[in-house]
Amino acid sequence: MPDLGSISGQLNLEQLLMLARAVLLLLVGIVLARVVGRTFERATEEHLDSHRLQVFRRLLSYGTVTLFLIAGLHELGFQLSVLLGAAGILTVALGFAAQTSATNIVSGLFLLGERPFSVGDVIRIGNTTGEVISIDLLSAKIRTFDNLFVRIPNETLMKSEITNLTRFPIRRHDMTFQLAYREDLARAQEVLIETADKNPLCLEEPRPLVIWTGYADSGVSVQLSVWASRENFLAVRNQVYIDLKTALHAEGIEIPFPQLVIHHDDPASEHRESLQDLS
Amino acid sequence: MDAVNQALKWWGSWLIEPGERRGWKIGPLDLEIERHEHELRIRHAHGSDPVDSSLEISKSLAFSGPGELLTERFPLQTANHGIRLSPILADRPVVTRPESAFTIPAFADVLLFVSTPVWVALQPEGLETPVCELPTFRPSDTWFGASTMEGTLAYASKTACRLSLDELPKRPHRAVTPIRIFNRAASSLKLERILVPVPNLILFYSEDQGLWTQTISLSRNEERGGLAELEIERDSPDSVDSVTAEWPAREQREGRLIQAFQEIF
Repeated sequence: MPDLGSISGQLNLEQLLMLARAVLLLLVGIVLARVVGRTFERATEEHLDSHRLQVFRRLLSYGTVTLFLIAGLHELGFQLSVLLGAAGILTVALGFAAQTSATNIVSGLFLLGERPFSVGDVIRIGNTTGEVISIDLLSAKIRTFDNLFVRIPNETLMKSEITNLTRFPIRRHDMTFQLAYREDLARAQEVLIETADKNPLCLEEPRPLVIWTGYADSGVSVQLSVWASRENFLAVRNQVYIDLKTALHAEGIEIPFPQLVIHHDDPASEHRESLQDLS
Repeated sequence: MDAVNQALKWWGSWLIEPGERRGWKIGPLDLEIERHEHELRIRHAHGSDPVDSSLEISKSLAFSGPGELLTERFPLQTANHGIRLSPILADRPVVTRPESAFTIPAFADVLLFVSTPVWVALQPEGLETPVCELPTFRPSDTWFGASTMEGTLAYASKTACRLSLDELPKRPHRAVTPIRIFNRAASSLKLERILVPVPNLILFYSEDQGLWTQTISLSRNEERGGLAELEIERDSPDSVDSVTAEWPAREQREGRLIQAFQEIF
């Protein structure tokens, strides 16, 4: 008669061994995932930007852990086909429940491919302007210039117009103002260009541009456009306003206040004159 | 040292003891260095005339120029009170534009001379690198490229495109670059702007001719469009005799093709 105690003891030992092997596989998988991730990062950090690097590294790590997890479950005797079937049903259920998140994830992948901006770029989306501090699976994080934290879902980024203010190395700043009608416009144009040329941070090329845009109520409208490198953009933008006012003042060229000319007709004096004519 | 050499050479080593100061007027740059026990104080201002050729070295300087006077301080722990001034070429390429229209006929070549302002590198003795570099004249920024999306940030300069050595004024703060242009295309080349890759050039000093760089050759072929083949001659230019000093290029050039003549937008 077989010894039930020894048989059950043997079975328990076998199960314990299986569990230990499964746990060991999982642990090895976790350690290997970290090693693979770090190796991948070191090998590709010069070729990929930080966003892509993070995403691919995570995919590799999770993929490695998943493989070892499946191997561990197989070791414990679970049937893979049953697991996959259950996972499929779970995925459909989760998909319905987490549509928004899924959309954000998919949008994030499309953004990854399209790369309209990178970490460190300054972007404008809607009323929000700021520096991109991270691009994550579900959203991008922006730091505004007044140091506020803004989270923008990837889906919103995919559907909205994004202006990347720092994509190109140089930028143009347009200033619009008016000059009094009585001024010599040709001389004024020279003064505007000379003022821009005197600032070494204003690019000599593309040339500063003066565009007369029309005759407005209080003066002649003009646009002065100057170019600067994106690093010096703010400095140039501010300094040109100061230099312009100084130069125009020195030349005696007026930037007019809003003006209204009133022609006064006195009906009483008209009537008196007509009566005098009669007499 | 004769009067011409004396008038051109401003670099070298100076011993400035704590409490002492020394002033340099190098072209448009007014520079004063004051040594304290644990720091170096540098004051500088720029004039507005890019071809101001004055040179003066004195115990102190009276700043009179229109430019803003700036002060910089550098902490120093070294007991060595020497300071070295060296000339160094610009840290960006220079786009030089002829003052008047200059056209090279088809299948012709020309040797012309352009000058660019040099920078002054200040290096206390005992330190491995300069503490600062100051331009003798701060040129205007400019963009050189086929479009506003791609190109390079450079400095802007004007040139008289001199063709003869005799026409070259000797200025202590400017380095002359001989440029050989070979127009191998069937169309004439109107020179509106030339990109001079100044950071890739070695700087030489000749007792007779002042500061010079290596000669560069630019060859234009029709099939390359606006790209020119650039060659930098290894040695000092033929026009320059008796080189007595040499300073290395800031960076080595990679590739021979360069966007040298392309007009922009």
